[in-house]
Amino acid sequence: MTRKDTTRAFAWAGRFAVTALAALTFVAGGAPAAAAAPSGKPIKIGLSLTLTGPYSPPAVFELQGYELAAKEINASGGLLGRPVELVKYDDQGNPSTAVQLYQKLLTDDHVNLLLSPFETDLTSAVAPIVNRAKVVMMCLAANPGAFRGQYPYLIQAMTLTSRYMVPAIDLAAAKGYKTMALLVQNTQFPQDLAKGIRKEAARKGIKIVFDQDYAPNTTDFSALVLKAGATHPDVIFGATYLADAEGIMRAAKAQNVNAKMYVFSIGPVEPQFYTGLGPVAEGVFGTTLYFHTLKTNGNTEFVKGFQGMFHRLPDYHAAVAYASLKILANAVKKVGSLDEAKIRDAILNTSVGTVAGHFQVSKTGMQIGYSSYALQWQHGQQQLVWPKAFQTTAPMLPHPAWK
Amino acid sequence: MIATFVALLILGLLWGGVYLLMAEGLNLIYGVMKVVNLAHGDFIVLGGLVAFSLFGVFHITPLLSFPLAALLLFGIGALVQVGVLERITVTGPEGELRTLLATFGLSYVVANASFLLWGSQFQSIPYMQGALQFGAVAVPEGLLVSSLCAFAVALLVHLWLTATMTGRSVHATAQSSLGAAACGLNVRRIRMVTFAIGSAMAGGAGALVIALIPFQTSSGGDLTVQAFTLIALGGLGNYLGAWLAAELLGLTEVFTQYYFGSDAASAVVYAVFIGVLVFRPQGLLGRAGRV
Amino acid sequence: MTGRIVEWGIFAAVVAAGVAVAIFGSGYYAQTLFTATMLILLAVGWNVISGFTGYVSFGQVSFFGLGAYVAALVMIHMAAPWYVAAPVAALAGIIVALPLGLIMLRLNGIFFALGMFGLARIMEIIASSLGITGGPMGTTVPVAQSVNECALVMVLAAAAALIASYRLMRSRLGLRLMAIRDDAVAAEASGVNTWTIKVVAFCISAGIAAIGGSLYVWNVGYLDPSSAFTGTIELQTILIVLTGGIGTVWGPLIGGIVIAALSTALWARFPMEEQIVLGALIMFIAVAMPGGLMSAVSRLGWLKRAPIWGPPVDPTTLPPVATDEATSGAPAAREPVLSCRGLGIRFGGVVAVKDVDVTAYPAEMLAIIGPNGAGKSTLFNLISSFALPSVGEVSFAGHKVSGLPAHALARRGIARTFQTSRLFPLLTVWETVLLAASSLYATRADAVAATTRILAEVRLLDHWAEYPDTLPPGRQRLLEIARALALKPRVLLLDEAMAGMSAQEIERVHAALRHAMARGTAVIAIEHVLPAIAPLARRVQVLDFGQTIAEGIPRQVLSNPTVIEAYMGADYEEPAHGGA
Repeated sequence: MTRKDTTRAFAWAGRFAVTALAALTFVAGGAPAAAAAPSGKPIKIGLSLTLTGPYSPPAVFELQGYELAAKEINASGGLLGRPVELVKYDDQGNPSTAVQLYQKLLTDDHVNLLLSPFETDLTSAVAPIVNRAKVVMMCLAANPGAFRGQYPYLIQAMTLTSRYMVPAIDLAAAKGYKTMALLVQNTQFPQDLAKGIRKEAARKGIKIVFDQDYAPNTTDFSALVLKAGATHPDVIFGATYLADAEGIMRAAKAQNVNAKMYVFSIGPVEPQFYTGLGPVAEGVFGTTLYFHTLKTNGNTEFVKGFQGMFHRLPDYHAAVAYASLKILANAVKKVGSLDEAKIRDAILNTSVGTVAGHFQVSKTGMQIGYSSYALQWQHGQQQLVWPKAFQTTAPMLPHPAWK
Repeated sequence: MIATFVALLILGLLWGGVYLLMAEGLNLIYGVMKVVNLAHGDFIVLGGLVAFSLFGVFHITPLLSFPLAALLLFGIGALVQVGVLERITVTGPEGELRTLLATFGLSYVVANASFLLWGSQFQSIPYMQGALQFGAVAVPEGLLVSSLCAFAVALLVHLWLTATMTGRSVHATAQSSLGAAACGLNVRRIRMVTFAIGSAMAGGAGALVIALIPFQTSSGGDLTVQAFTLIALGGLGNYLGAWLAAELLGLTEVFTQYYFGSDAASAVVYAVFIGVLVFRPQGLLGRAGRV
Repeated sequence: MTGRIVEWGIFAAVVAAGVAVAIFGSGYYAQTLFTATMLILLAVGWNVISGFTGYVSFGQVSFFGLGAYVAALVMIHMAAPWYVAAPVAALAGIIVALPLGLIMLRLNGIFFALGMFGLARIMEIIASSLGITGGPMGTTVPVAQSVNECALVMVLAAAAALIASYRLMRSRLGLRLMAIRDDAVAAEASGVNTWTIKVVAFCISAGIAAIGGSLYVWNVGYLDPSSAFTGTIELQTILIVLTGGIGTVWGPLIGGIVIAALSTALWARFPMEEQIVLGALIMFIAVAMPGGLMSAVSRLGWLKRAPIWGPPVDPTTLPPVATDEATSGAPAAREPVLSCRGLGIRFGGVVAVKDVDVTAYPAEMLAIIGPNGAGKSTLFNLISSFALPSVGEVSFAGHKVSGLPAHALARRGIARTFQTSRLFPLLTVWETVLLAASSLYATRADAVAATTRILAEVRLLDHWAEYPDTLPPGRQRLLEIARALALKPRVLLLDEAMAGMSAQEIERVHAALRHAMARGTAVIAIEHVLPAIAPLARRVQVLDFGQTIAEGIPRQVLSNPTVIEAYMGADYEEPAHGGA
C-alpha cells in the first residue's frame, strides 16, 4: 500500500467510527466512550489569541475551552481517524501581528481549519486574508459586520451583538420599568451593543430618556452619571467594559444617584467587578452567554471536564470556544473529508444544542441561534436570574436606594 | 440648577486634587532634574497594584498601603536613578533626549514586569465609596481623602524643600546644578533622593487612586500623558501652577462632560495640552514660583 | 571609493534578497517581510524629522493612520488600485503636515515629542467620531490579491525610501537639516531659513509615513482607529532607528533587520518577556550606545558619512574672484553701509542696551569695547536680528531691516560670529563653510569653489574632512570666521572672535579681515581686550551699562579718562604688553 492509500484507509476507518459515534452521542457535547486511538498526520486547527496584553484573561478561557474540546475529540478517536492538533500563537492584541500569524498558519503551517482571534477588531483584520485562502474559520466575534455575505468562509460562533442584552431588557419590561438611561463607550463593540439595546427597548416599550457616548479612556464619570441621574430613569444601562462599568457604579453610589436597576454589558460578568467594587456591586445586573448551571446539551460533563483539567469554573468564553470546536469537528465528520466548501455548507446546515445553547447560523454565516442570559450579583455570588426558565434564583428588584 | 452647579464645582475641584496627586512626583522630578519620567504612570499603576494585593491578601486598606507603596517605589526610583539615568553623562538637548528615551524604555519594562506579576485584568479596591451629604450636594469620600492627601503631600514637599537641609540642597540644585556642585553639595545624591521621592509620590498616589479608578498594567501610558499635560499646563516644575492646572483640568473635564458630553471632554484635554504647549510654553504662571 | 561600491553592493544584495523572498517566499515569509519592510520604511520617515533634524516625535503614527484612512477611502469610494491610493495618501500626508508642522515645530525637545503624542490621540478620536471612516467599528477595504505582491511593493518602497534618504543626506537640504539639529541658531546665522526647512522635513517624513499606512491598509483589507494609530508601531519604529543609529542613512535598515530577527526569536521563546527585553534594549541604547549599531560600524571605519559635495577642488585651478559684485572696491564717497539709530532693549526691568547708535563704513573696522555685561553681545543680537529691539531701528545699505528674520539678514550680507563659538559638532569643516556658501550660491560648482577659496584663505583646507571638536580652540574660532566670510558679508560682526587665539592665528585672522575689508566689507568687532584688533580698527566705540560712553579714533578713546575709569578700571592692561 502506498502512503496515500494508507491515509485513505484511515479516513474510511475514521468515517466509519464517526458514523458509529454520531449514533451514540448526538453531537457537540457529551464525552463518548473510549474509541480507537487516532493516528496518522494530525489535522491542524490554527488560531492566534491575545495571550499577553490587556485582553488576555478572557482569551485564556477561550484557549482552555478549545484545548478541552480537542482533548475530547482525540480521546474519542480523533477526526477522520487522525488526531487533532491545535496550532496556536499569541498576537498580543496587535492587528498587524494577527495578520502575520494567520498568514503563517495558512501558508507555513498549512492548517486545515481556523479559529478566530479573540477580539472583534482582530477578527475583522484577519477576515480578508482568511477568506481569500478559502479556509473555514469559526469566529468568536459578536459583531455581525463580517457575516453579511462578504466573507463566506467565516462562521459566527458567538451570540449576535444585538441579542446580548435582550434578557435584561425583557426583565426590566417584566418588572414594569418604563425609562432607561443609556451610557455607551465610544468603541466598536459597545457601540454595536447600543444599537441592539435601543431597538429592543423600543420593542418592549421602554423609553430611552438619556443616551450618551463617552471616550474609552474616561476615568471620571461623575458628571456623566449626575446628568443621567437628573433624568430619573428606572434603569441605568451601560454598554461598557469592566473599568467603565465600575466607574459608573462608583459615581452613582458616591453621588447618591438612584435607579431601580443597574445593568452593564461586560463588567459584572467578570469576578473582578466584585473584588473591585465590593458591596457596591451587590444587585447589579450583567449579561452572559453561558452559565455553568445551565441544563444545556452536555453541560454537566463540560463543567466537570473543565474543572478537572483547569481547576476552575468555565466562563462563557470557554463555553462558546468549546462548542465551536465541537461543531467544526462534527461538520468535518459529516463531510468525511477536509473539503472546505463542503465543511462550510455542513455548518450552515447545522442546528444543534451545545453547551452554550442552540447553535444555528444564517446562509451568510451569521449566528441566529445562540442567545444570552441576565445575571445578578447577590451576596457576593453571580446568579443567573433571567430568562425565568433558566434562573438559579429570582432577581432582586428594585435596587434599594443608596444609604 | 444651583445645586447641580455646586455639585459639579465640588466634583471638578476634587478630581483636580486627584490629578494633582498623580502629577506631583513628576513635577518634583522635572523641577529639580529637568527630566520627564515617562515611566511615571507605570509607577502609579505599580503602586496601585501593590495596594491591591495588600488589600486582597492582608486586608490592608489603601490609606495604610500608601506609605508602603511609596517606600517600595522610593527604592525602585533610587535604583533607576543610580543604575540608569545617572549614567547618561551628556548634558544639553542630547542628554535630555537620551534620558527621555531611557525612561520610555523603562516604562515598557515596568508595565510588562507588572503584567507578569498581576496579569492584565483591571483591578480596583472597594474602599471609601460613600459620600458626605450636604443638602442636595454629595461629596464623595474617596475623592475628598485623595484630594486632601494631594494637598498634604504638596505641603510636605514644600516644607521639605524650604525648611530642611536636604530640601534646601535640592532647591539649590534646581536653581543651578553646577552652582550647587561648586558649593560642595553632593549633586548625585540629591538627584537620587529627588528621583526616589518623586517615584515614591507616584507609588503612593497609585495606592489611593486605584480605589477610584480601576488600573490594568497597560494604564500607565495614559496616566503619564495626563500628569505631563498637567505639569506642562502649570509651567513645568511650578508647584502653584501645577495645582491651578489640576483644578482647571478637573473643572474643564467635569463641566465639559456635563454640558457637551464625555467624548468632547477627552478631546478637550488633549487640545488644551497642545494649545498650552504651542501658545504658552512657559505654562499658566510663567516662570514665577518655580522651584 | 571602493568603500562606496561595497556599501551599495551590499545594499543591492539585501534588496535582491528581499525581492526574492517577496516573490518566491511562502505567504508567511512574505507577510513577515512585509511587516519588517513597512517598519523600515516608517523608520526612514521618522529618521528624517527625528534623526536628521533632531525633532524626536512620539506621534509619527498620526501620519501612518492618516495615510491608511486616505488610501482606504480612495480605494473604497473611487475603486482605485493601490498605486493610485498610495500617492494620494502621501500627498494628503504632506498637505496635512504643512499646517500641523507650522504649529508643532514651534515646540522643541520633550514638548514636541509629547505634543506629537497628543496629536496622535486627537487623530484617533477624530477617526472614531467621523462617519466616513466607519467610526470605532472600522471599515473594510479591498484587500490585495496576494501577500507576495504586497511584500514586493513594500520592499521596493522601503528601498526607494532608503535611496531617497541617502540622496537627501548628500544634498543642500540634508546639510541644512543636520545644521539645524546641531545648532539651530548657528544655522540661522549661516543664512538657513530654519523654520521653512524644519517644516519641509516634517512634511517629507509625514509623506513617507502616509505611504506606509496606505500599503498597510491594502495588505490587511481592514482599518479601525485603534489599529491605525497604534502605539506599537510607534514603539517599533523608534526602537529600530535607535538600534540602527539615529540620524544615519543606514541606521533604519540595520536596525530593522536586527530588531525583526530579535523580536521574532524572542517572541517564539519568551512571548511574555518580549516587551520587557525590548524596553530594556531601548534603555541600554539610550544609556550606553546612543549612536546605535552604526556607531560601532563606523568605529571600524565602515559606512562613514563622506562630507557633502566634497572633496574640495584644487584652489590653484579656481579662476580669480570677479570684482563685479556689490561688495567689491571701496566706494568713492564714504557712505555708511550700516547705521543703527537709538537701539534699546530691556529684559524685564533690566535695561540691557539703551539708545545706542552704531555706524559702520565699508572697508573699515569699528571696534566696540566695554566691560563684561556692558551689552555688547546684546547689541550684536539686535543688529543681526537674533533679538528684536524694543526701540530704535537698523538700516542696512539704505533699507530698514529691523524685524527681518536673522537668516534673511545673513543672506543680505550681515554675517556674524558668536561669543562662545557655535559650530556644528557633526558637520565637517568643509560642510560648515559650505552650509553658508550654499545659502548664497545657487549652483553646486559655485558653492564648492567659494568654500574651497575661503578655506584656503584661512588655511584650513588641509583639515576639510575633520570635525570641529578635533581642532584646537583657535582654529575653531577661525572656522567660525570662515563660515561668516562665506556669506560674502558687507557687514561682518565679530564677537570676541580672537579670544584664545595664538599670535600666529591672530595674524591669519588679520590677513583674512584685511582681505575682506579690501573688498569693501565693513567689520564691527567686539573685543574685551583691545590690542587684538587695535592695529586694524579705524574707530572705537566704548559701551558701559548698555550706553555709548565714548567714540572716536583708538588713541583718542583710550586716553579718555571716562573710559579709563569706567572700563579699564584697576585691571587696565597696557596695550604694549597686552595679549589675548
